Amino acid sequence: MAYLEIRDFRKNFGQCEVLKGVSLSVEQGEAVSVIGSSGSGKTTLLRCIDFLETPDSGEMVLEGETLFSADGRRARESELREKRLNFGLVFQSFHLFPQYTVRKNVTLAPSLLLNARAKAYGKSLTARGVRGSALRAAVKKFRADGRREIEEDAEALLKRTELSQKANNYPAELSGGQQQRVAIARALALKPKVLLFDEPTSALDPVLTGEVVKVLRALKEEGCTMIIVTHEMRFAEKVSDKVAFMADGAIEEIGAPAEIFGDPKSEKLKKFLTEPEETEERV
Amino acid sequence: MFAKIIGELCIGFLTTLEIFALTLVFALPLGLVVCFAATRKFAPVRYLTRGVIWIVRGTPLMLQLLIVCYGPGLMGLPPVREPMIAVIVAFSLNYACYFAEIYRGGIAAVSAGQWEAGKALGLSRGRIFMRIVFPQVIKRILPPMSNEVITLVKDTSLANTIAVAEIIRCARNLTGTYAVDIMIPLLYAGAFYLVFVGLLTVVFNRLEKKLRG
Repeated sequence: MAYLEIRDFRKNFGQCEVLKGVSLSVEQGEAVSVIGSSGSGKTTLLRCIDFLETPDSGEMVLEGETLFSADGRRARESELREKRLNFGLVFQSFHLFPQYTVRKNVTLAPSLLLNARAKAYGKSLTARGVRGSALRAAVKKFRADGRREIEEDAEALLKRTELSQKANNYPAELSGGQQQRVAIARALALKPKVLLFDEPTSALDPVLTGEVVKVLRALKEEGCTMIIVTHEMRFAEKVSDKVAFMADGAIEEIGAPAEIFGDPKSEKLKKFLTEPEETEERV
Repeated sequence: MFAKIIGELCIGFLTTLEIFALTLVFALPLGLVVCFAATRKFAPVRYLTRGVIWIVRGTPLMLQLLIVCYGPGLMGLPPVREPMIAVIVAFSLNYACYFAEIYRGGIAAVSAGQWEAGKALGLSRGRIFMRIVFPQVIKRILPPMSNEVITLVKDTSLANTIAVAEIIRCARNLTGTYAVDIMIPLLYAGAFYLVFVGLLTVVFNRLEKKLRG
């Protein structure tokens, strides 16, 4: 079985069937690009994987563990949060936290989760009979160690995304490309097993796109497992191991980049590759 | 005599400040609670809260003050012995409803993307609100909030209708004590309000600049 298996994801929004049974398997360390015209369901697929939407039917298995199975049972919010941590999602329009510095954007979620972990750790010690000052000292040490690790991780991530110089700046002071790299660092800070990118370069001009693509390439070389929804055909062709072409809520064709771009089989893919997409600006 | 008048007005102004401060202490958090209730998915809670907001914003604060003060006694419940309590209850409820609407606007103005980014990072709704959304809300609502807070300074004078000795009531009493023209202590009282509102304006302007970063 593959590292990440998605089986028969279906999703309706009212009358509109957005996903019509999407299955996808991703091996560990693999980068899969998802291409297709607007409205083909690419983003919905990513949102379903990250539990931001609940598929109406289907199943998802990560490392042999069933993360999602549409059995009509509504998952508890805390359960969803736990499962979401397997994934890191990077949005098209970054969604950085404007009131925090770059560093704080990266460390905020790990710090908050550390608090929760420290509380749980304290409880587990209490259950084992640790009391009083010994308990407080142990929890304090747990927090301090955690904090240090978070800070060190953040520095390393900012270095990797070439943002060390900007650590104390606010998002509004950065270019789009820098902002998107912060968003990537922020997603990586939680050490997700799979990274999800939702059109990470669509809001950027070609030069800034280059910066972000460089980071994505580096991640691929480090062996990150990634699913990238993209309009950046060159990137999809050069970096990904597999390209999935989506049309009308289904994966129309999937294969190695050479097959998809060099020898497209389906009519829809041929049409998509030869005719530039109707952009909204032209309306 | 001038010093005596100013001295007594100062005592009255302390009561004014007390009403002002206590109302803010209760109404600011209560407003958030009302705001959450008014935006609940559960329809009965939502409509009930919106009804309360409608009544509170739709009737004069003075009327609400009188009802809170004398209502319980007239309905055969234990009467309100301390008018100050009635003042704080009526003012807090009234201002909470106005604040709730300001909060609602501020929360709606924060993009849904912020909630989603928080969710994608595995944070709970409460954490996302407190650490990510609310700080942005504060920045946005500061100008309308400063407006309400300044109005509150002057609304405190309504307390004199139920015999709370705030500054306006003090000023009126002084006329009898010192046999001065009624206008003189009232004008002095006006100056107290002006100075205090001036100070608040400075504080809010500084706060706004600071939050702008």
